[in-house]
Amino acid sequence: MAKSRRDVNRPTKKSEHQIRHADRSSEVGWTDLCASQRNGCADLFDRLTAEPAHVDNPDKQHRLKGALSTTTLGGVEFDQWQYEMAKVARVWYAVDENTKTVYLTRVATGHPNETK
Amino acid sequence: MATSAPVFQWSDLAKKPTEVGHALDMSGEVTITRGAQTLRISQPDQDVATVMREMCALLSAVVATETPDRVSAILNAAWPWTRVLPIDDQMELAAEVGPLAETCESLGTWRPLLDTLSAWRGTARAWANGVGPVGPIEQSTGERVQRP
Repeated sequence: MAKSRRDVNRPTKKSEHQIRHADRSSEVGWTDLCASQRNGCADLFDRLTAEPAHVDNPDKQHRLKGALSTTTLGGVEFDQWQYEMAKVARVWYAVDENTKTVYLTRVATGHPNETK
Repeated sequence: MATSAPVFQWSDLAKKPTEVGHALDMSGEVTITRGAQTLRISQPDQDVATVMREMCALLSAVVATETPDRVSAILNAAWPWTRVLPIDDQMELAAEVGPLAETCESLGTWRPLLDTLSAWRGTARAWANGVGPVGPIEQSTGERVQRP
């Protein structure tokens, strides 16, 4: 019998948030960011799973302001947060407390050609 | 003989900050006026919290009376990082900080104002890196994010 080599996904506790990609670009960005900042991404994942709106360091993690303060997902408007990582990388996310889901709305690696 | 502090207009902070700074260095104190409101800045032991509160109050006041370009000039002189924010965001920031500073003073903690300014600075860093608004996104892909 062939052995399965698929990764085991960590289940989320009832009190935790599940984390999902908002769109395809965040999937690509997350893959790129994990390749360059593996430990930082793991820490961020744990932080967002546990308490996405709890701020320890407001210089790194904060609600976005002004025109960037909200985003609309499936017709519903959500507050948008930013977590700044090393090397000018940043992750934006929205929290749906009704479904205890965190959506990654943008994952920017900070590569110099990112905005081209 | 007592010497009085040099007096400048609020707009001088934007127009000739070097001159204001020089006067502060020479006299140890300057007075900034805008109508009936005054802001005194002195060295070396100026109460930073007082300056912050009065500056925030003045910023909120000028939003109500000045053109966006003038507000922007004053705001950009006070906090240079605001230059990368869209003009509407600059107006929103200027209007937000005054009442918030009052609240902070009443509470006896400046943490809410400092956290708000941190959030605005972080937003400015995003704009500075060429990152703009997201969406709207019609429907999430729903793909679960994998923990690395």
